[in-house]
Amino acid sequence: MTDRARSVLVMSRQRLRDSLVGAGFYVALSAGLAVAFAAVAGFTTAVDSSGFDYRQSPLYSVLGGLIAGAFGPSLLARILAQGPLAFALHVGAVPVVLYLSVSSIHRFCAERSSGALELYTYGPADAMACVLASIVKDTTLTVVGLLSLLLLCAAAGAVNNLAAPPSLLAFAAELFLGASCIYAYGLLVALCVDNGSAAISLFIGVVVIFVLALVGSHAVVIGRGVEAAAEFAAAIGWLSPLGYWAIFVSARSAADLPGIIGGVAGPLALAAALLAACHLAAKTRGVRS
Amino acid sequence: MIQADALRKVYDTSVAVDHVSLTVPRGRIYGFLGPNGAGKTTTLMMMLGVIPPTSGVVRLFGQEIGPDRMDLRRRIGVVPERHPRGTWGSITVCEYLDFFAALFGVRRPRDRIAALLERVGLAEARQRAVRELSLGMVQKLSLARALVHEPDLLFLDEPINGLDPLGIRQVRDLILSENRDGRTILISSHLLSEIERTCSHVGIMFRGRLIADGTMADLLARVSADREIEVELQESPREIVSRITRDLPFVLGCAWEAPTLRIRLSREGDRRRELSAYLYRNGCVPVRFQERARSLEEAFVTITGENVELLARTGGPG
Repeated sequence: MTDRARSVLVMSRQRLRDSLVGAGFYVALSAGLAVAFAAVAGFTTAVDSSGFDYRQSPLYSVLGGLIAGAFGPSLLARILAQGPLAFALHVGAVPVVLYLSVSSIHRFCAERSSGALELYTYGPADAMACVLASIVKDTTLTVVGLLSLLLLCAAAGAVNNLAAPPSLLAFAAELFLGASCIYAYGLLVALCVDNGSAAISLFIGVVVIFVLALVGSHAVVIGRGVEAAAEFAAAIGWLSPLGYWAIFVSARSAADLPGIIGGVAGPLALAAALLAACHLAAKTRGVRS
Repeated sequence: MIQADALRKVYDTSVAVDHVSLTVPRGRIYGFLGPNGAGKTTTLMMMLGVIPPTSGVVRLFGQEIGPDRMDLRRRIGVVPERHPRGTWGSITVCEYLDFFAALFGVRRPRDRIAALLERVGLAEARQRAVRELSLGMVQKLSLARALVHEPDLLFLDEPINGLDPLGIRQVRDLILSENRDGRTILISSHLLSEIERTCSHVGIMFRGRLIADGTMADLLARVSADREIEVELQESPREIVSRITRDLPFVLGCAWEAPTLRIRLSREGDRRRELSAYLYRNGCVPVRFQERARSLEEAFVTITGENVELLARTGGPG
């Protein structure tokens, strides 16, 4: 085993242990499971003899209203078309992914400012080994989170007489790939910005830009806004994991194989490019704040 | 073991390290001195490959060090000036050392860790959380961490910072013992008396430059061209004080401060036997005969003082 591989393994094990000992991950996962459960339970109350109407459920009314208001009804329709369990899986994953990203950025910046990162580099480790260890920890916990959500969806589906479609696993895989890109973005920001609070703010800004780009690609607004939003979405869509997610969801609905492949290969290529950027940033910035 | 050639580091417009060259052969304990802001830490960081030099080269074990030379870094142990104990949360002393032992791929780490904790006096604190340790205990833990993988070369930045007298003695004994085991050690410290006790060779950094480099004896000789011997006498030496420089050509000066006769000698040869015979011949009985040792502190103050004057005259960096 090479020095770097051992460093990544040892540091990711340490980070995993710290995450599992602390309360943060469990709080985020519980929040995700609660939201997912509410999404499944809300669906059953929104179904009547005329079919599904999200306005009949308080939760769906709020969430649906927000999504339709922000992104337009086409995205809402697209999400809901995948079924209530897919919707629950997606909304349940958000708190977990956000928590893991923010906590990794915070830890990386704290390690650099305290000198811990420097201490690792006196041994057979470097900043890139820390980045990879963080990614390994985050993706491992994402798998734990997604499996928990899948179990909850399966159980809630069984209780509410909703069949869990096989596509749920495909959505979980796509979510996993998108989440990996989000983590890589977070660590790239942490490598470039010394201050933890500033790095977290910048990361949230990046996520907001991706959300806005998604809005742009689904915007149904009147006038010049349509063109501007669409141009914005097209300009940064290839940098956004949410863009690839949208491509994947659309391609699945239309059974479009090239689209599905693009939706899977895109985030993989993006994650690789982001790790290369992290490597470059780690070399340029060094380990001292 | 360590070879730095013409190291230079420039930050924007200020020169932090200016053409520093030094060599530390295998098995030596080298003291690296200098006032605050002299460029010691920057030089150390460049030697460790953490900061790239603007120009110049550092070779460790005969090979050029750089950010990617993990193979060289695994042969080095480092005690940094500040230890990030807050980062380690609630993990215990044992878990902390376990982590670094695993990072270095140490085989049978439990035995090694137990022995190290015993040697640094932390055996009883093995189950305590790192963040609860006192500054002195953290310093000892840092030393144990630096030794956990049995490195060939040790870099110690203020290794006795925060230690009580017993702790200082433990760490000093440990450093000397590690050196006897064949490790080369570079110590950067402000505590000159400690450097004097442990190091055979010394380098002094001042305003980014290495202004002195050599054995401890060379350095002390550089401060003073002559020796001073104190002879305690039973009675007043009478006219000896005025005659001795004529009678003994190697005596440069003499002063009587009852009951001690202070005699200044040239450095050539050991003249104590001749001096003793001369005093007996002249009816003086020496009770105590002692050469006054120059301290490293005197050397440090003199050498840095000389450089302040030199820089003031030549308008060098300041």
